[in-house]
Amino acid sequence: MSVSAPGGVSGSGRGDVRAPSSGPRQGDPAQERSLAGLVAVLAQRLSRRVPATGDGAFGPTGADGLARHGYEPAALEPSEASVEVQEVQVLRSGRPGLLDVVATVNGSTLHLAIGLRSPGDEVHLLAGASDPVLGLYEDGHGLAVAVDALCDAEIALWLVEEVMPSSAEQVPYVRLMGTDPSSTRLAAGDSYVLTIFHTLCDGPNPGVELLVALDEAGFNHIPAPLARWRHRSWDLGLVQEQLSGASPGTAVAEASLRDLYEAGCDPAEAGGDFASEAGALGTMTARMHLALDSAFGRRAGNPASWAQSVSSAVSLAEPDLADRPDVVAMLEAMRALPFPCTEIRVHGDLHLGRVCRTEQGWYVWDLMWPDAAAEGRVLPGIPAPETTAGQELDATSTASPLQDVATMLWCLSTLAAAAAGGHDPADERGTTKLAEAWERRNRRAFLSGYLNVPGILGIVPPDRGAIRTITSALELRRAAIERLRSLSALEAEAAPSYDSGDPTGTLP
Amino acid sequence: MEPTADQLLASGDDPAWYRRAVFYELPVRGFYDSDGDGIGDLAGLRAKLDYLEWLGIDCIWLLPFYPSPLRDSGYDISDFFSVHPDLGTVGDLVALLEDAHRRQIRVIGDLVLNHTSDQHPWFVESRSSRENPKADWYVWNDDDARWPEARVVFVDVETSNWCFDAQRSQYYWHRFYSHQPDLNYENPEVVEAMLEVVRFWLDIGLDGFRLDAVPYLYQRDGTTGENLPETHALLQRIRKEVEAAYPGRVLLAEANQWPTDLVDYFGDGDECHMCFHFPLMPRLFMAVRREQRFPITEILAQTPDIPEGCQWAIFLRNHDELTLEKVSEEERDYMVREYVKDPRMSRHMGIGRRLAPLLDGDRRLAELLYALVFSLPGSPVIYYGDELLMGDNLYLGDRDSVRTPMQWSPDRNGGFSRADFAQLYLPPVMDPVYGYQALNVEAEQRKPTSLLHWIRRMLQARRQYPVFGTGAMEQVQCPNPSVLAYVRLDDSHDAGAAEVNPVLCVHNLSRFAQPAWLELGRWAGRVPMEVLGRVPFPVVGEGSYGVTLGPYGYYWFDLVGSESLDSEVDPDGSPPAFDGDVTAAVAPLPSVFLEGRG
Repeated sequence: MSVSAPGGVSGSGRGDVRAPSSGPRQGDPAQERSLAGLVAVLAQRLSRRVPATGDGAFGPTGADGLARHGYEPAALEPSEASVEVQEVQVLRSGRPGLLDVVATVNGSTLHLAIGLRSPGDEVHLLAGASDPVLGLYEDGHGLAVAVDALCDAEIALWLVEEVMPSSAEQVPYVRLMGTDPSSTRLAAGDSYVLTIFHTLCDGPNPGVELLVALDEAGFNHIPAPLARWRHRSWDLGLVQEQLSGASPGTAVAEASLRDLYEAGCDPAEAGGDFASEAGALGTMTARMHLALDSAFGRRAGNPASWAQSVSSAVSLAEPDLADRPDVVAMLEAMRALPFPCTEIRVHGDLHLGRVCRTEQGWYVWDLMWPDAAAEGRVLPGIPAPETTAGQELDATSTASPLQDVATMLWCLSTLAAAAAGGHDPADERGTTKLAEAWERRNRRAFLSGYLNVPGILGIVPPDRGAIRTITSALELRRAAIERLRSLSALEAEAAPSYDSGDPTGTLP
Repeated sequence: MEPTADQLLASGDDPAWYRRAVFYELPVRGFYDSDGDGIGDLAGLRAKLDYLEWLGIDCIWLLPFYPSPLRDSGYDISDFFSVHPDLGTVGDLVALLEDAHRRQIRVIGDLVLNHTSDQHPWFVESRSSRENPKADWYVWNDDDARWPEARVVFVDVETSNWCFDAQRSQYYWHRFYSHQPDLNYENPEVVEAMLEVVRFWLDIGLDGFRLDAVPYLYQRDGTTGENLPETHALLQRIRKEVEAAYPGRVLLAEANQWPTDLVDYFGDGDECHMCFHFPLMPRLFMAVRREQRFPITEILAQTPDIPEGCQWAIFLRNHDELTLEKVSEEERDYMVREYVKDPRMSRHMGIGRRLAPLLDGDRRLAELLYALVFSLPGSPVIYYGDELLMGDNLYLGDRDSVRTPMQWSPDRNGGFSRADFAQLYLPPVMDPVYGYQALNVEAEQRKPTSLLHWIRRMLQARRQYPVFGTGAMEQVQCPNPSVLAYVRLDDSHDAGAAEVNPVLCVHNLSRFAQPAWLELGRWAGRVPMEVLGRVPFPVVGEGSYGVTLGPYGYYWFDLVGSESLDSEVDPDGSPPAFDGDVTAAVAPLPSVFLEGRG
């Protein structure tokens, strides 16, 4: 599917509504000041939103991870903020009105939608929204009460209509799906989802780029991008298909574990066996990697630098562990791998909370900004993998495809252990053994689903031993990172808050 | 004046009756024995119509009642124009039809088009020589190499679809047992003869046919011989005949095929009125064992829309094994692993068990599955005895294990027959769990909390909501994988017609209690009224709607619009006479009034 520019953005069609007033009005410093004040208030509200975590991400308060990078707004006070309004698009003039604003707030580029209402208007709030009023605003149409446009049921629907592709069916209503400091997700009827990015980066949004590239490479296990809302060089928002009948991967796996712990039998005999799901998930993961490979290309990776990154993470998280002979031997083996080790663009944090099951199979519903850079930020102690000179790809955005595999395996293990702890805390019914059996069975199923996809051995080493070495090491790294996250005050970001347990538990 | 159902029945003015009907499948032989010979009969069934009327079913489907050597439960017919002497006479059937119609119950019968018994006079004549008037009524060949692509259906008993006949020194074609030679529909005389059979029974008053094994009527080189265009053409011819002379009668096809092939049997609405949705059935069992909805939603997503006026027939169990032909190999392994506790349960390519033993007798699970079958798109078919959760007898051969006598009372032979026990066509179930001493109609009727009473109540509720029969289905988004929720709604867009309330059905496929967050934004402002108790639930808002479900719990909600609410209890609990501003009570959105402050 090709991504078309939404009708309102190309400048044709309804573009005339806002064309005359594009940009802050010159010669009206008072108005500009008042807008800057509103931006400061809204920016502060955004910064206080609680980011979504793995599970909750599907619930009513969930949020998309597309824009979950770069900007971490400090909890700023409006009065202290330095605001510079860069761009104002009047999407609807008059009352109620709708302004779309891009502004620099304390050095970060923010994108905000502000609704303008007459004093005394009744505002229907979207379910889950609160506290819509930002302040007063005055323009040629007189005094207005400025509101957060994404709280106001009527104005939010206009925004959605503005961005929807012209071919889309009529949107009957808008629902707030989730919000976090960097983005807001609106369900547009039963068919579409609009993500509005609040934190902008210079140039295109890498998450959007990734999604579009995957779509164009024919990987259809993602909510298809239908329209990209762009202005100047910014990605302001994205319209995607709404997955019908979707359940988060964690919920599906937990249903299986619940059944197993109750049945207390061999996981292969249990009714809620997850192996076929794990296998399908492995197949989907491999197909995603092949699509990423064909879209972004590959480069030679350096297992020695991978090993270095593992050992840094482990030293930080669990210093004693780094010296344990089996860990040392594993990293040694990784450094000495005799195979060409390819790096590609990867998902970056592919765990069960980022995938969902639909009646069309598994989908990656949450595409991360490649994690090397992100982790470098979250965990300053861990060096990014070394760059190999002369490669086209940005070194910080690539990793071994087995990193995603390792993350999923790590997730299977922690999920089973966490659920066992909840079901049978004192292990009186032997649930720990069941958890281990479940983990073994589903790891095997996931891996064989992954490795049996034709072509995958072009990007992972064609040797089971090498795969095991790399995967185990990266799994250890993922567990160490999780430990650091839960230890760290910087945890607030992205990852699910599984009880990470003992990272050594993931050693082979 | 509105015509009564009886008049409708008589005049055929309700041509879409089968879309709202609940079917009840029974073998006459196993239902009730009126003359004490140990075999159920037509007069016995007639005597038990009271029961079926009480239960609330709309149509009886009779398993084959024709003369037959009974080597395949009567599907090996040796005379198409008569009734098996064990069961009575054509006159008994006429009396049954009259009685049933008086009670607004319709009756359809099994008809086997594909083959006859090898005892049928047509075959006896056909095999007698290569030149006789019926020589080409069956499919003969000099060798057994033709049509190698055609699969053998009963893989566990038959090795080939060809069988050598010494008398004629040729092979004859049979898709099922070797004692069931296939009729040769290339021969126009055969087509005519079978049309004559159709006319004969419809003239007597039968309300239609369940057409057995329809995919295999023709053979073609280089094909599997299933679902051929010629087969569809023949079915269209039969439909045309029925439509012209017997409007309101129904053709129900048994075609165990994938959904995309299945829908071809509806044609463009000019072939069969109904088809069994075979692939759905095993997936219902799979879904509750997996505790997730995907086995069901996947197969529904793969099921194409069907032509106007057509209807699926959906069921939990029937007289055959729980067939696993239309599932993947992996799914078959799964089903066998989960449901076959004893090798004797394996039959052909499936599981030969009744509903209750499949569910380990779990009443809650049975209710859940019935709630699904009563609310998913299609007309439900109940297999006799499954309304009692009757058991089976694995030690009886082939499919007899699920065809034991109906259990009417704790009396001798379960009240089925006054004959000596040894004389019965099959022994009744007498095990401690499912035996007739404990499990019978009399006991279940006397116990107000029985499953039997529950089914009767659900069927009453179902009748109140015609959308279950004729409405569309829309899945409702719910992140919990153990919950299956959908809305049945009238999407006919009939401008003049009064609005029909949609019905929301929510099911918990798990044995554990579950929360369900449902995306009901489309129905914001409506009040979900629980169907059985008319209990109003909180009004639907714009956000996710939370419902809590007990283990294997289910709800049917009438989604009542605010304008019709004042006639019922207000969601806030005001008395029925409440005549205030109802819309104020159901305003879906929180709102704020803006003050002109800075």
